[in-house]
Amino acid sequence: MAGALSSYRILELGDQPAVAVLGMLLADQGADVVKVERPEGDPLRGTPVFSVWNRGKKSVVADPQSDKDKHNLLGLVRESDVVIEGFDSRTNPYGLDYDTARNEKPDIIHLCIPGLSQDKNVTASELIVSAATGVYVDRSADGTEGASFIALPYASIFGAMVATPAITAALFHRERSGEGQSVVVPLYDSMFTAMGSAIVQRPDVPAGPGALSPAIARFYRCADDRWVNLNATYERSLKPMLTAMGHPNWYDALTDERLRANIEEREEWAARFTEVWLQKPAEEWEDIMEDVGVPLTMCRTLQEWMETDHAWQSGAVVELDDPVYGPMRQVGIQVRLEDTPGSIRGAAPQLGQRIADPNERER
Amino acid sequence: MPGALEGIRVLDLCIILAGPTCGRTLSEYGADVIKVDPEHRVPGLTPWLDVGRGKRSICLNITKDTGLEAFYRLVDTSDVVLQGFRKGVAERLGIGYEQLSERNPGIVYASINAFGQEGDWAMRPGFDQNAQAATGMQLRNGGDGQPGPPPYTFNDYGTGIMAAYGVMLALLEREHTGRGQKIDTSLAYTASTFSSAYMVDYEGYEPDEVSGPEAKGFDTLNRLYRTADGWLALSVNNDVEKERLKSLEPFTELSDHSALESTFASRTTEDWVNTLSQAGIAATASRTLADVRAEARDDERDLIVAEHHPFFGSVEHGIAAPQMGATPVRTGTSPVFGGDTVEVLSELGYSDDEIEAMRADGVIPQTDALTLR
Repeated sequence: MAGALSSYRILELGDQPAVAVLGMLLADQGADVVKVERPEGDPLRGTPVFSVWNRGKKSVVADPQSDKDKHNLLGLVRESDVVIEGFDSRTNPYGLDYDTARNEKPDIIHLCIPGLSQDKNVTASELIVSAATGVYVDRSADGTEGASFIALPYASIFGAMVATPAITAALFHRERSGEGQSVVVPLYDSMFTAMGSAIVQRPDVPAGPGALSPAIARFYRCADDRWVNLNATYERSLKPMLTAMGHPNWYDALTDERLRANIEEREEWAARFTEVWLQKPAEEWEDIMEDVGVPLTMCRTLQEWMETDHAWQSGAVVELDDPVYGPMRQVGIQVRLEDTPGSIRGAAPQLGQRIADPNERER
Repeated sequence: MPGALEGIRVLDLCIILAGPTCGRTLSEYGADVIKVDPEHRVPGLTPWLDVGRGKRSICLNITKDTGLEAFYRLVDTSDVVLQGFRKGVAERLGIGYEQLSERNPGIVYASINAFGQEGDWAMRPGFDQNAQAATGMQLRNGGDGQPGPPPYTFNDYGTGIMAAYGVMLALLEREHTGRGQKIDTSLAYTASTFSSAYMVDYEGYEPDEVSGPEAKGFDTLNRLYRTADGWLALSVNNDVEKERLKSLEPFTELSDHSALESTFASRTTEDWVNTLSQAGIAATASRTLADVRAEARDDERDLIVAEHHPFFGSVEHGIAAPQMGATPVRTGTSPVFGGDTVEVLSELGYSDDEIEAMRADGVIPQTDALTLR
């Protein structure tokens, strides 16, 4: 069935992960996304992630060194509703900024998703934005690592997510007013949304690390040496959980206000809990707690998640035929609209042809 | 200039972070967002100051008939309903999609929960941590040791923002059809999207993930290095930048990262950032949150702002990130919990006597302003 964006064409420029993911999130909702690549192709070509992030798109080639290609690119702008690009104004090799695009198509929406705000004088990859915004803080138990890298490109994907309502709002405004606009969503700026409550500072609470998690919201090791994550922070979870653990008599002590305030006592309870979870394997505890409605989840690997029935049934993972990799399991459509569900429009494109002169095409 | 969603009204029934982030995002784009909570479900203050911003707040007991009737009258005047319940709970309360769309066919109805509306785990309760646990995020961070979350709650906020995307898509579609629709989004779907670079499988695929707190990067040229006084992130992304690096004296013979470690350890982070930046190579200090906060004060754009809260005085928080030329976004301030109850009921046409009767029946709170933790 048609997606909510099926009447729109998006022109995608840039080889940054953020712009590729943004294009994917739009294509999954029905948009006709045309990816512009350099003659040598996107640097991610040849890796599986290219097939995922560029599924359902078309590919055209434009050489930034060629005036003819850059001229012909303007013809594509005239046929597009939205231009998305990952370059900042100084490094944009095609020179296709908002003013240039608007000259070709007065109601164009132009969204720029650079790494850093325009005043920052460095090229900003995922690594730079993440380091600059505190993502790589030491995660080791004893604090001896100094800095810890994270493989998931959180900053790029979060930035792409932040850009999706911005584009849709701009389309909504254009439907109502006929007016396009320029939108800028730097990854660095979006990171301050991801920091969220971590940067909220109240006059009544001194800045600094938060208190230790209570015993009812922690990681615990189980009998099979696998971990579970427990979040029994709701009052209504407590009694069923303790009963299922075989210790209903702990209820009165655990609901005592003191537990929340006294770190020593909290750790004593955590030690008692630790002994209980060690008695059964993680997945068994997960089943037991599901039956009594307590949020406890076995910590799985990503591969294990992909193999769960739920990931398949819910469409979190789907299988798509890829010309390079064959049947390929990958992430499904993230947001599901019941009447206009969108669809994955096909595999990632082969490297396209040079953009033709639109005038020649017409003839 | 008005925001893009000026004139759109949203009823936000969500709690914790993900759901309320959806409402806040819609408010940033100009929607009139009314947060609806039961009086006893007092949220934590810190998240309220973050994801409560830009909303009005009412307390209404919809398990009482007059409370549910008031909610229905609100639905009649609204465009969007956001809820974060497990599958089936909203229907039991009388506020499922079918029930509300019968009254108002234009209503856009978003469900935001842990595992979605379909599949074996649709009935499982869960916080963001549970969705992260299920999808590999925490094991990756922990490596061989105890699993751990990433430093920020990306997945909660990302889920709220993606739900706002879904709501806006449905509003866009409604411009043509006049009809609303139901939207399903979940923390587990968002976690899958964040994991999409590695969430693949095909004949012959070998998972190869960098994990654990000891990880420093993918390769020699994209990596964290210890310096004389801290940590440096080096990011060399193409052959041009690699040649620039090799033109610098200590790097003429580029080898593996162990050789570079002693080079970087010999000078300060600031020294390296200056040297590398002048050569056209991207490098920055790996910061802590305290560093980020201090640095943000020097930024050209105010990414952290202070608001004056009527109860708590000066409160600092982040801003709405997108810069929109024609329909600017706004960073609102957080309301007093329940503080807009009487105002909203009056707008619906309730008389003072009716409002007092609701107060007496426990449908709305005894006082107009409730204290947060």
